[in-house]
Amino acid sequence: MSTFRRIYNSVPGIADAYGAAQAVLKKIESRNAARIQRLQQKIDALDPNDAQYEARKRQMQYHIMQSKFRDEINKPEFQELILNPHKPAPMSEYTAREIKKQHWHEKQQMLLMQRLEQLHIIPDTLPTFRPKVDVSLRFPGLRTRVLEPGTILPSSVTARPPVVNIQPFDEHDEGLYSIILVNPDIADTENDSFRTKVHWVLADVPISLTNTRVKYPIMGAPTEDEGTEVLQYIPPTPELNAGFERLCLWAFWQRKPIVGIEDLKTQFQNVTSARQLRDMCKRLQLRPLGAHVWRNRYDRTTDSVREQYGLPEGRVFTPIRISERPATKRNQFN
Amino acid sequence: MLRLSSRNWCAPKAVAQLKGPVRQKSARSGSRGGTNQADQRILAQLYALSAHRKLPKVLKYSPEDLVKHNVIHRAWMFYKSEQRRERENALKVQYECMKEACDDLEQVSPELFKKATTRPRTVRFPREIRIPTDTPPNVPWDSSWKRSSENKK
Repeated sequence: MSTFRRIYNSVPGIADAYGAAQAVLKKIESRNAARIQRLQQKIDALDPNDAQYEARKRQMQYHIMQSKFRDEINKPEFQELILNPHKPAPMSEYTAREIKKQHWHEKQQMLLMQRLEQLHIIPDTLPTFRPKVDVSLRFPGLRTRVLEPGTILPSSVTARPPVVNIQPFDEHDEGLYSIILVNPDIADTENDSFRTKVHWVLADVPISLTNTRVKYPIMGAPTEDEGTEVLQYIPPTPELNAGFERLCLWAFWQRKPIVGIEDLKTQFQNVTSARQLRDMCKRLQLRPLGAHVWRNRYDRTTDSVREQYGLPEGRVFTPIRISERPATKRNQFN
Repeated sequence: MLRLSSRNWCAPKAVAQLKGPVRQKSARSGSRGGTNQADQRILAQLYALSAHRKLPKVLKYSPEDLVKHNVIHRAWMFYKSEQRRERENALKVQYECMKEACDDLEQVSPELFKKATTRPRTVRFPREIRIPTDTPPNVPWDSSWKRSSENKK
């Protein structure tokens, strides 16, 4: 037991004040209950043949939800959730979802956008977007709870595909998702440039508020809660002296199930530039709602990953020779 | 939402930077008390100016008490807002009553209405009036003072 716990005495008078507070909050509750009842009566009185029936109904339902939210936010279980961001929440409930969304919005979303922009992923792969869902990755064998966007990982860790979780915060973000893992840093010596490569494609993955895990069959046909693995995971194997490789995982919301999923594999294999990728996304009506990124560079495990997967031997890039380097302050003694 | 980590953040950077070299110097010179007087004064000034003083005190409560505290706080805010609303409503009712009475008066007797609603043009408090202070003024009474309008004459 910590010293703080041992010497801690509860705040004097807090129990009485809490009781009084509960009495006051009961008042709000009864008032909100009356309001909800009134709104419900209004919804019942609406004419279904009216042209604006749906819009009005939705508006009133939103007001009902807000009233309930105002009630529930005062409850101790939700206050606990506000104070402790790591506490698991029942995501089927609107109030819990709103609290989680706020926590995510304050930290994770901003961090993600910072990393995506500072690592230049946003113009290099897809145009800018507003993240709506929380994409979290976990690699088998890596014991970190949450992988921060932009982390540099060893090749041995990324040899196997990550476990992806997509957490939507709104009901209208539920549905089918597709996932594309893009690498815009394949060295292209012929054109003195870099090429884009698609490493992994999943499509038609059903995601809901409570079912957030991205599942796909390793063998056979997908079941009801599984998606399709269009392109099997190719482990990133960076080249020696070619710098970092950025692996961007994009989560797209699908308007409808993808038609002609069999032909997609070759199409994604043929993608070599960001422009082609953008065209593909546009054609398939994929709307980016979430993203994540990690980085790889050549390390002592890269060669073993190549061997393991039967990939061709890596290229070795040489840095600029010392004699060709411009004389700067930093390398004048080289 | 409570910012629980604010206490860790608020160590004044300037003081932290100053402390290191100052202590080294004094140790070399061999003076007692760690820092010399001038530096100590700067340190004290920086400490008084630092954000540390201005931040609200962090509540060192147990999680259960923090939850209770938040619930009490929310209820208190609700109570205060209720009070405010009641007061505003009362003022609104008062204003409506006054307006109604004035409208009636205007219809009954426009002359009386005019007398009742016109504002007095005279300034009740001159601008030169001294604001109330704890101590008497340096010049207790200026006998030669005259109104600005009189001065003009």
